[in-house]
Amino acid sequence: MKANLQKLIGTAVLGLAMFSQSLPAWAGQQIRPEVAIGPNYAYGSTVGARYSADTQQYIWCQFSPHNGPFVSCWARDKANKFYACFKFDASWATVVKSITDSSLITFGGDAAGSCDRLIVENHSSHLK
Amino acid sequence: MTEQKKGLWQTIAMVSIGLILGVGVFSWMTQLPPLPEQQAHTDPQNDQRLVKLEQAVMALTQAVQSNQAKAAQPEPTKVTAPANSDVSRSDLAQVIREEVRQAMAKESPEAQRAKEEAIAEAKILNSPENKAAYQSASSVVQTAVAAKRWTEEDKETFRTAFGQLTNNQRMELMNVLAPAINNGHVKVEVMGPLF
Repeated sequence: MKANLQKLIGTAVLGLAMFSQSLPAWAGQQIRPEVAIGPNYAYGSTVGARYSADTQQYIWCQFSPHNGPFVSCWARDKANKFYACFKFDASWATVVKSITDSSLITFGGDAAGSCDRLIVENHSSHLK
Repeated sequence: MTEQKKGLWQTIAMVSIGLILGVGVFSWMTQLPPLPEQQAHTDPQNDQRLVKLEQAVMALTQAVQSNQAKAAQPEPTKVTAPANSDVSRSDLAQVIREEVRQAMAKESPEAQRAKEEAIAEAKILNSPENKAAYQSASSVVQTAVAAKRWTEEDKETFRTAFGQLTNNQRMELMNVLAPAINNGHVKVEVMGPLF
């Protein structure tokens, strides 16, 4: 009986030692906005879009060095509303490349769909 | 006496060493530093620009000098040599300014990029591939706007054609498609990117 108890305690201690390091401490500020689309702009966090309850949302930007060079940004909200804008400017590539899974992306443009702003904010609060 | 002599020699020796050191340090400090490595390898574009400018200035200077020499010769009908000389100088200054401005404008990175883009566009534009791609992409956009939907098939067709278009053609088509989608006139039926 005593031996079994010792085994049990030993196994429990071993288990704790093995798994305690992989348990994250979910603390800290959490701000993960979902995709929102307004007149000629869109914003949202990559995580907010990815983990939204619906299956519609996304937000992203792409840079094509060969076609243009061409930058385009796209977003779809939960109501299936869509916003896209584009820009032929290689200097925007740096901003697109800075997008990570902790990014809050805001982009907008004119009525013709030409981007005039792209803002990428990387913040711990946007992480899942 | 011997001690005095010894002290005197010591003083002379010290002063001499001090002078030698002083002169040495002074000459070391005043000598010209060697040119930095970067200066030795100047930009070839700047070199060319400077050579062009130098040639232009030389030619203009010669022209002005020859005009002045002609004006200095006794010519009863021409008495405006000093005025001509002033005009020539201001002309020369104006020409130099213009040359410098043009050289700077021609060599700026933006101008270079614009030139390269224009050359690239000219190569693509109106090639058989470009004509076919433009026709295809334009047709897809027009059909989508008329049908009020952007389908997977449209996406694939547009994507294929997009690479063969010039930037102006891309912009022209995107200026039709993007507003139509953004204002909800065309419904997007594709998942992921539009093309």
